Amino acid sequence: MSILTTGHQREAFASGAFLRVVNWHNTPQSERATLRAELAWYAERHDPVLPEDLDRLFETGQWGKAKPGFIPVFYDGYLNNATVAAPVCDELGITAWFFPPTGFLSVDPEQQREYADAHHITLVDEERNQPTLAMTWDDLEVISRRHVVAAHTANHAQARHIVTAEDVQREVLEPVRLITEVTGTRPPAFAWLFGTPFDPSSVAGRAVLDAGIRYAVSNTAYQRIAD
Amino acid sequence: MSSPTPTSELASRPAEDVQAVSALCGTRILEREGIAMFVALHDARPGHHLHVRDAFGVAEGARLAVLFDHYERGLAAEGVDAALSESGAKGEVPSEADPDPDIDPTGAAGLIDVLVVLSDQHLRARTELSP
Repeated sequence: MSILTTGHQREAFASGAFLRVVNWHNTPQSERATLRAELAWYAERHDPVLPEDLDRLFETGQWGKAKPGFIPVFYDGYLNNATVAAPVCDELGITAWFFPPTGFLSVDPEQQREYADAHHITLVDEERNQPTLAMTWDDLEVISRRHVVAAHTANHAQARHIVTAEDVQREVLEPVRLITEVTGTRPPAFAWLFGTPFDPSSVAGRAVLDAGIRYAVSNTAYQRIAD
Repeated sequence: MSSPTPTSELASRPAEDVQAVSALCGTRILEREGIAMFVALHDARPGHHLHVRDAFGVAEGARLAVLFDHYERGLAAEGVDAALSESGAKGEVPSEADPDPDIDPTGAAGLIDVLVVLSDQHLRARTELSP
């Protein structure tokens, strides 16, 4: 059964195979108070989930946590994820997952606005004219000391556009290598633009497996794809 | 021993006007708000199957499935009404199968709609500052 059906989703839920996630993109300074209040609300009711917690569940069927788990997730490598989201999580003692498209971090600041507009990275009005829009690689290294860094391609790519060996190298293997080099840890998870699920028969799916990723993250599911 | 009790958000009554909630969810600003989602866990490794043995997780899951059914029915009714008004066809229900990726790059717009409404009502943070 395809996982992209209501039948599969319902069956998973009914068996207890579900997870709470909260996905953010921009976390501008103007919304800092709201972000902090909401994260505190979630943290009061839930425990953050780490990759090893997922590993434990998949291997033993047990969460082993005091409260229901949740994952706060920050997508797309915005500078405000480094200057607002990560510090707020640190204040609250929450471990979050960050999914930066590595190309955004590698583009010169003068070109980041144009890059964002061309790669489905939406900017908020109050920050559009900032001199820098993406976090730096140094920011990511600092984030990785307390949080999970996962992969989200290089140039915010869709799985269906991964066709050639060059596509695989550029959008899967190289961003995984860069994140591993900077953070010291291979990213445990990978997500595509538009959140399509893992397909082991596709070039994209095989690439993610070859990159040593354990969890494929999509709009509707977290899938364990490798040991 | 009594069964574990789902969290208060899961135990709350489902929204009666699913279509109204769905419309409200459509006004959320995805790029700056935290979007809550219940997602499935799936073991895609050959020969493996996730068997959740956590009693609390299983109890919550049972409740979550009931809520999922409620919101799916509520949105399915909305989808039938929309199809009828747009095309004049009778008795057709929108299909989940194989959407055009140029139109729906997620490949799961209908399923995501159910999850968004479900999660908005039974997971999203309710604070004084939340939109």
